[in-house]
Amino acid sequence: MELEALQHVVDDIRQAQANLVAVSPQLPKYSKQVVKKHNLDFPVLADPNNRVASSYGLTFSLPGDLRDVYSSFGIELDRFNGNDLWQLPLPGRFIIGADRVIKSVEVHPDYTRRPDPTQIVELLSTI
Amino acid sequence: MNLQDTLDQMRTQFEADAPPEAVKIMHQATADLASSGIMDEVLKAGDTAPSFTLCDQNGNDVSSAALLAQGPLVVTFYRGVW
Repeated sequence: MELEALQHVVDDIRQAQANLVAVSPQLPKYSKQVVKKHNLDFPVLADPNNRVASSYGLTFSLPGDLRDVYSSFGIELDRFNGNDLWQLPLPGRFIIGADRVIKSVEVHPDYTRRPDPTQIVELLSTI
Repeated sequence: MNLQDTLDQMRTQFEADAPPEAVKIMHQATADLASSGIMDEVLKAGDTAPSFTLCDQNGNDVSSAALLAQGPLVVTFYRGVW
């Protein structure tokens, strides 16, 4: 859902001389499916064991009862992520300047809250 | 409809259909996560962004340094296709 919404602004992001990437703990074959399904023309990068997500401070482990709930919905993270860690990143969006300094951070512990992608272009114009 | 409105609609629909016990566990887990202190660990504006090189969905290496050489970079962390 969020990646689809990002696809709508990817041209505007490029117009601003910027790039967009998504980073996910899931195996590349699942990212390939999502890229194809939504015709994404930005990369979905594989982050095995959430190594990069952890360097941004985003990784957490799902508690046991939540694992059971996810499993009951067919969301077996061990299968999707190719490990039995049951860890996920908080969904987050970082805008990084060409000087490597982070300019904007949008992270919320409630995964149903996401920043609107249209803000990105506005934020890029202020860098 | 903007992204958050769509997500809110999906959430309402999901919670109407899902077993109440599952919804309760999910709400509790979100509340626990929010109070766990994890938000204090998240990098902030003004911090230096850790660099990375990762494979894209086709197995090609993508490096943050190469992209930043072209301009700003938007990085979105995505949980998964499910």
